[in-house]
Amino acid sequence: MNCMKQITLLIVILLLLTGCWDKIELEKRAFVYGVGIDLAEEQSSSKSSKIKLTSQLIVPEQLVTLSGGGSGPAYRNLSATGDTIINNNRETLKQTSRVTDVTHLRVILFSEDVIKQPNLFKEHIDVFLREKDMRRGMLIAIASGKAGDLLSVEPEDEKLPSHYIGELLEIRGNIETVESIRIGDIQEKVLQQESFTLPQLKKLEPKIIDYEGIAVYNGRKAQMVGTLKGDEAKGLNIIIEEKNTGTLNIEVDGKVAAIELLRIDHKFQLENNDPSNLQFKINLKVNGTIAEQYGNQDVMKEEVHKKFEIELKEKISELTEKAVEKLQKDYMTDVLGLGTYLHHYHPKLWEQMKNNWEIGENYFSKSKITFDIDVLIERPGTINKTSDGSRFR
Amino acid sequence: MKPTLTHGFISDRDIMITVTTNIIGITTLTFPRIIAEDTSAADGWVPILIGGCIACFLAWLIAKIASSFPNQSFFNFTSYLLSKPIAVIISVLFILHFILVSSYQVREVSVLAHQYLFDKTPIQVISLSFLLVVVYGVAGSRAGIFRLIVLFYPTVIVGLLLLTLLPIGLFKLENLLPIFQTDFEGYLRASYSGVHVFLGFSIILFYIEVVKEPKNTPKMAIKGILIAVIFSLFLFLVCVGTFGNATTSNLFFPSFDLSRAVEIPGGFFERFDVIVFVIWTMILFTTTLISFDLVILLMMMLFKKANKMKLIYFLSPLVFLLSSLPVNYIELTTIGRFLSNSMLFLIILITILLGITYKVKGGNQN
Repeated sequence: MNCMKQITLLIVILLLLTGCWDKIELEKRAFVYGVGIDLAEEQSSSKSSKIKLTSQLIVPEQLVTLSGGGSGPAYRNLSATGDTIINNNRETLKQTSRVTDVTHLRVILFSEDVIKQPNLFKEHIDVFLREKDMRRGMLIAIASGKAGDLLSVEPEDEKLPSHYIGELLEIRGNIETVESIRIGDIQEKVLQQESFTLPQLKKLEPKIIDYEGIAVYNGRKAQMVGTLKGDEAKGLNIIIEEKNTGTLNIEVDGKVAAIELLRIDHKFQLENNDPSNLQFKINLKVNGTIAEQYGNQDVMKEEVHKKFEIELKEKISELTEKAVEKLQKDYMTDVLGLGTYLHHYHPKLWEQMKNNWEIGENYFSKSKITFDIDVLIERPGTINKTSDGSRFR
Repeated sequence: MKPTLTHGFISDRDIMITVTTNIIGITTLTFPRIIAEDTSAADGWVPILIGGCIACFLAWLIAKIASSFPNQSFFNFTSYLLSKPIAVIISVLFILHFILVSSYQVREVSVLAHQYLFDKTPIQVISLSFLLVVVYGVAGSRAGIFRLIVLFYPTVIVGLLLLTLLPIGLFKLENLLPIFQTDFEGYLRASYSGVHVFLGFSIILFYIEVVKEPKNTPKMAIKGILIAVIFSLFLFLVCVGTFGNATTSNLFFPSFDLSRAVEIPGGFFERFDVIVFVIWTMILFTTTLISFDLVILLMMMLFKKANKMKLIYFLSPLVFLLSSLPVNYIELTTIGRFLSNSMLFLIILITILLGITYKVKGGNQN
């Protein structure tokens, strides 16, 4: 009797231990590493615009490490056209022998056309936040031209275009680039209808992608309104970035010199309470070092050092004013974070004007922004000067 | 008044740990959202504190009354204070409540596992296997349950500390601003939800019978609640600081998403959510164990001659059946809210009833 009981128990246990329903072997999975979202060429008359999704799948056999391995391409790009992203993704399943797996998705590229349409960007990041396998650390970037094209740019030293893009977005040291933007940070901004910046990339040559500039996204209009490039991008970055710094060229006594910015501290201050004529003062504390100089000044001299600082200060105020003017007059979009600053430190005032900040009355564009720049050149580098004009004249 | 035969076997420390563990149950997954919905920025810490204080006060009252009847069962001292028929009614209400709580938790843990881990495994299979382990736990001695809770405690605490400490790199102090911008109504509503978070202390009513030194129980209950309050405050602030208020009130399980947001370089810990899931399952397992055990405990008080194993055999299918009744997440949330409200109602009812009669009749007289 007892024996019978034990045997039945064992059989029941055997049934329960048949294995896992959800088992998918590693070699049956196709890891998506990057996706590009474009507008479809032919648009139907339906309510939403059709989009084209390009997903980059990893071919693990060709990939021993992320930058080396077999001879063939280490990726496969699949695209499909339709209304929703997830549906497009399922569409690509028709063309693949593996199940797509998004747990390692790293980069999401939106084409300029998509993000310039009102609301389209907002609608299409939903799935990346809703899907349970998606991580909150995925990077977002804008592509000038077709996003799908960027996913086939294969440089010599990388096997995976999306890995290349991901690394490129995280490189620091150039003041024209912003800190990489994670989708988790975007969610809060989209919910709050705040404006924000996104990196904008462009295919430069068949094998090179270039960081073109900083795209400006208006939270109220829910669309991208423009791109800051060159000097404007530098000016914006000096105001908003803390860790990502780079070099600036200045001119001292007719000779060019480059200053490496080490750290920028910024502080906003509101000087009055009149909504129609707000006055902001932005305190910038810039810490730098001399990186290059073409002239032959003796940088150990107090007055030369002063000159460098004054020139740097002027350069910074020129750049920042340029950027602010562009944002206030042309784009009417506050990516400086002044609205957020008001919300955090002057909530009562913000409550009155939050609906007229970037639209309607446009208080942001009407406000006056002044700078208080504090420059400190801390170190001269390791040498004093390379050319010495005075000694052998 | 005969003292019951069971002698106290759980120490002061054990009851404190049990209170904390039972509070850090299912609500911990969702409460940052519920609190953040009604408050602005990080103001939710006020309602959490208020909720915690109210819970402490109620717990102290209940424990004070219950501990004046050392080593007597809940049924014994309620029938002494409130007369037998009312004690029976209250016990039946609690039994129904805890049966529903058990099946709700079984369902909730399987929904979570289904959603995040195995989406092709039938949900009934997950709940059945979970329930079987719970039944195994309940079938043993009560001392074993407490030992298990104490055993799990360090793991749970370390895991939850990690959960709140690891996102520190993503934490932005700015997200906590502006302060005190919530209106009065918001505070009121959030405080009401805040009390619900800490209702897990109700178990002291029933377990006081097995406590070695009931004298210290009120103090221990408050200590247990305070640990949970501090942890909840911490977790809430980390959630709001990491996600921002708007995102926190938009995520269904903010505490769990916290672990998904964490990215630590180095491969293994990159998927921290897996470890957090193990810890959640442990927590939910212990709380389900407690509520199932309370059903048995209360039923044994009512039917003195009942056989424990027979009761379990009768109850387990019932719990399983009830757990598979809700068809979608909307019904499940409604049930969750109902159970939370009914717990509050029962606790306030019993506090008032016992409080008044205790004042009139006085404490234990033998």
